[in-house]
Amino acid sequence: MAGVGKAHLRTGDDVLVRVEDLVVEFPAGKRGKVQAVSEVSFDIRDGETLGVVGESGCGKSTTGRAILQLPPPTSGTVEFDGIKLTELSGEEMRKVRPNLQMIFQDPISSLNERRTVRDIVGEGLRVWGTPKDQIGERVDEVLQAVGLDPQRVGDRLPRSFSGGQCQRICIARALVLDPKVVICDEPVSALDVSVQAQILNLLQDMKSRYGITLVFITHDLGVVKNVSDRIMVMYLGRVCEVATPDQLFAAPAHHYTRLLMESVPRIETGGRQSRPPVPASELPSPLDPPSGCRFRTRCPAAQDVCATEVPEMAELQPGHFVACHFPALDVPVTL
Amino acid sequence: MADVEAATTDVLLSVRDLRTQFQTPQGIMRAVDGVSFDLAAGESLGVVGESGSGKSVLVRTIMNLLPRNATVPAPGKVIYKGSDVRSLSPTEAKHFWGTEMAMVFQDPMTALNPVKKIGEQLTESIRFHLKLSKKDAVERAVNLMRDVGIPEPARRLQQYPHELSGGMRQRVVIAIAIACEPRLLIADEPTTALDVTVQRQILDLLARLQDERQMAMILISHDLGVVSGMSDRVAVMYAGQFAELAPSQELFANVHHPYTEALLDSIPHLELSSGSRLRTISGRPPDMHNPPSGCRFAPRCAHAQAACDEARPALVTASNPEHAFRCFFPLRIDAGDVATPAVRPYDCARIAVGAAS
Repeated sequence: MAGVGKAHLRTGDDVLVRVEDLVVEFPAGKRGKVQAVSEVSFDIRDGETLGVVGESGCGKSTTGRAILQLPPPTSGTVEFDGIKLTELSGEEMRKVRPNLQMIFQDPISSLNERRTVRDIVGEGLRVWGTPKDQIGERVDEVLQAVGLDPQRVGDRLPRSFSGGQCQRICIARALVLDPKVVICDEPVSALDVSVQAQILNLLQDMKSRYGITLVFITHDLGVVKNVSDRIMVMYLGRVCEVATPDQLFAAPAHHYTRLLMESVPRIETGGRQSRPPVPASELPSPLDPPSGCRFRTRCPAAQDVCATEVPEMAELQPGHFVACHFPALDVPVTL
Repeated sequence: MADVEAATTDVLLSVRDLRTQFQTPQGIMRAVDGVSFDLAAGESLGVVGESGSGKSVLVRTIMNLLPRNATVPAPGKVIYKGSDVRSLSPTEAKHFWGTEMAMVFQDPMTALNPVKKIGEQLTESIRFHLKLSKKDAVERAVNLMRDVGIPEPARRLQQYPHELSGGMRQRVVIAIAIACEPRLLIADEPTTALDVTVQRQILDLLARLQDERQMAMILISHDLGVVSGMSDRVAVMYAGQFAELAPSQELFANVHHPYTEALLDSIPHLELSSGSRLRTISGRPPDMHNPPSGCRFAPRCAHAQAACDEARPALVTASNPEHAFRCFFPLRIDAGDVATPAVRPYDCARIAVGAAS
């Protein structure tokens, strides 16, 4: 997997975000650098939810942040609403930023513990010079939208709220500037399942109410299936597979996607040990990723060509793309 | 009477009316509030619950690993092979941990000493408990490492924890836990900090070791999927108590407690079509300084009636004596199938015991 190519990019006026050949490198010790994201391309249509799924170190968070130029990518282009973000100066980028907001994994640590909810949510408006009376009104409106009572919660500090409520505050803060794109980085991973369901439902509501476009980064396949219009599977900094949730879960073609699906713990109605074990394998070091397809060291279908040639994105069916030399076709996954 | 005695012989662990309380500035916090169960040798019990349900405190009480501000009032008891674990002296406890009961913790980084080599940490307990020479201990350590699926075990023993991946570190923690062949392994969220493909490997490993070594296991998780395929029986914990306890297959086929059902419905299962709306549980778990006087789930329960606020339901069974639940209006129970208290406390290991509450 772990392929390159742009066959999955779409054309048309409704493409809001277009990322091409994105490379993000970080310094790593004396020996140079680690490439967290390698030649990743994707696009997002206006109003669409793109789910990005993969395990630790696959580059999904780095990809999400690179859209916001946090930090600016090493190379490649990010285009938002016709503007090439990668070519903007700092001040120009600052002016675009209200359109691009972010929600983080740990809702409690991403709120300033010494400021009231009203201050936290209203800060973006203050920065942009919104008149005071309008700030109060707008803050109350978004707090209500995320299911919090402004009268009751407005003057309290974050520590008096549970994780789920803190995540609602974070969502309100992201929405207050009326953004076009919200990047959600593991927004429900730190929450209990019953609270997770509330936040997932809320994000769907916000999407239909405000018409926002979402990038939803998660390691959880069930969550990504629930929220996404399109899913991108990543492994070690590259894209494996892009498809709609129905296509992806009905016929996962990339062997990494299949391994992920087979690994998810599911309710076993057959009792103890009713599932066959999966073969053990280790994630290679991102400092020295395998040549060719990066998944080949763990792939059951790998052959010689996988070590020498990086697979390119190819269309299997309309809308279903995979970067694999030997994709699994019509082989049901044992769930 | 005869069959009662016959049935008790393979009981490894009996927990009776266990309550664990913490002294806090806000008063007494009842983290575990009346839990009873038996565990047979070689059996595995999964305990699921959300944050704050008391599942971790429960196993720490069983292990006798509680902080100083915790108390376990009588008549709460943890009986392991006939003796009360809570009355062990610190010296006795040192010989007990590792050889009888051992524990695997959630975070493999903090469970290992970062400045000691893997080999030292692994041979420490082997030498202490089994009184082996250094050479024999290393040999045993190499075999253990191989057993838990660590490649190049001899080289790994010379490394420090930071040189290993999260999955490999958790394998080391498991190797340390099983080094002295405990009869009971307690695993508290052993895979929560790990990626999904690694999680699967660790669960496979635990299942294999449990089988090969005939260990009993208590597996704690917030994930119903994780426990369902690993456990003979599953207990669903809510507000310090077992809300439901049944054989794994029976539980998921025939959920009786509304909390268990709500929990299952709030998971975005892969089988659900994309974009479908998830069921949520309104409100939040009760403050255990001052739990509700009636059923603890009643304030959040979609099926609650007036009776639920008035009295506390006990753990009872209906037609299936192995399926216990704590609810006045259980789901999927035919009218006429009268719930009876699960009162045969010292009967066979597979039957839950209701603590009067």
